[in-house]
Amino acid sequence: MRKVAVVGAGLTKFMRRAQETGKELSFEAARAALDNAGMQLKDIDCVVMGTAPDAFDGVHMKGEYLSDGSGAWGRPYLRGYVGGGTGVFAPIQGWYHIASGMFDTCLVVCEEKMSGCKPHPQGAFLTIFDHTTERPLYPNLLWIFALEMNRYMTTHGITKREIAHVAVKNKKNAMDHPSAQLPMEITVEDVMNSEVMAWPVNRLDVSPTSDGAAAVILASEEKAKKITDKPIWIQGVGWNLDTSYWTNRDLYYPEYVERAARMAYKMAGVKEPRKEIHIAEPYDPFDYKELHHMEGLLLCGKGEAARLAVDGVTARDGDLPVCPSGGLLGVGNPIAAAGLMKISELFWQLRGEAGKRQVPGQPKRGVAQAWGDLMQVGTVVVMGVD
Amino acid sequence: MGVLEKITSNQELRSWPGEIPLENLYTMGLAGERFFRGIKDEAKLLGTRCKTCDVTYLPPRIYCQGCFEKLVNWVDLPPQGKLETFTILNQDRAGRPYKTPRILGLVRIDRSEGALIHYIQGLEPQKIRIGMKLKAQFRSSSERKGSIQDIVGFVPA
Repeated sequence: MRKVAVVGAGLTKFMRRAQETGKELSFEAARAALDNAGMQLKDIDCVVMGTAPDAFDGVHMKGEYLSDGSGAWGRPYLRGYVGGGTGVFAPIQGWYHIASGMFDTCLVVCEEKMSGCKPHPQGAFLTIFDHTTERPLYPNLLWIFALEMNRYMTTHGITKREIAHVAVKNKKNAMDHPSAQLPMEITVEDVMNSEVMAWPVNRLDVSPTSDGAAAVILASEEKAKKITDKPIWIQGVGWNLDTSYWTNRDLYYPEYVERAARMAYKMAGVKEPRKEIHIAEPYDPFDYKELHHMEGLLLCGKGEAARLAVDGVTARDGDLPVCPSGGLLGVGNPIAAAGLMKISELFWQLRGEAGKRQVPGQPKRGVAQAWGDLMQVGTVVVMGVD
Repeated sequence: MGVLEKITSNQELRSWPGEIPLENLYTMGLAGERFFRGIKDEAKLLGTRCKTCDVTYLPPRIYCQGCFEKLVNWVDLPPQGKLETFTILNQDRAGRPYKTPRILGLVRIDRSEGALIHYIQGLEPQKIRIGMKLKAQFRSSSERKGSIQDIVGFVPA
């Protein structure tokens, strides 16, 4: 397989309600990525679109609907969707378009417009549960996150207070992100005192619903070196799906994330992730999920992640910066676009172009991860400077 | 099992009725906002123009799908064009017959690459010809709401 690099990235602002249509958001992110790479649309061989449920935009087959805003007119085009895992899966799909030798450049766009979905975008998920054993009880996503968070806390003896440090850190990191929707300086007390939605989940433990888009441009080795003198290489990719028989596994640990991570690390030649990964962007739709996913990514032992958050190890200037972007909790959570925002963050961080968000010490390698479907998919990308 | 026993009514099986309960509020977007304001406030059609590709978009877009430049050049277009194709509708979506057949046409708007689909009015079905000139008939200003339905239909120019 051929080497593949990221050569450009672009984001819209992430916001509560965008006036722009999904097509217009897609265009703005794609145009920004082209400008970032110094490229034109004619330089693009194929396009990958990642976008979550059709219900958000209210358009069935919204991949097709979004295509002309994503630069896909007259080009080979693919829409991928693995729930919340989409934003890190889309660049994997872009990667195999190029690694296979079929294309030299690929524009990867992720879009989500959640604000139009009524009465709440959450409704798109009401029907993901088993229609006879679960749906008659009217569960929503928040409930199952609460079940998982409680299981995780209880198994390891972790407190809500410890977990709240993640929300505090990410919302603060987001203050330096120009696309951020919920940048704020809050305290652990603020998280603890925010409204309880479904215990143990409080309002400030949760990321917002958002509108926004993100885009990256991928290129083959030969092309990448012509486009930029600072290509960032996709060193490893991994993805894995657990069973939708979700009640028959132990929620305290995301096995599927570990399997995806092992696949990506093997490809990247990473043997000791704790030492060889310098910066991590795990998926953080809830504060405990960042910890859950750090463990699945083998960045620490099971049950150890909360301690790292409390001790500041995962701060932007800590030994293992985690979500220096501000993550979904701070930058926002336009589902697919949020995952690709993490890939963009690694791109800028590894190039030393993250501005006020730059982590010190010239990081050489990072990992981004997203998660989704019915608490079952893990998507992982390892990126590095060589 | 189902095949052998020929289940003729799934009501006899244990089942649970459900729906996907969603509604949407669609923003018109940056280009759509201006387009429908033009229709509502001035009964006119607006397009955007890409000089590089020599294309005028109607309905307007804020980008050119060919070269991906941001489009800022807005142009007034005549609310008229040529009939490119049509169909005669005899049944509604539920299969009920219309008292009077309705005619749905695709009208290519003059001085643009774009077209609108709309109902064609004021013509007997047998009088319709592909290529004929048609013009948009707008509702009165007090009735217009900023929607494609502010155009009643297309009539002979």
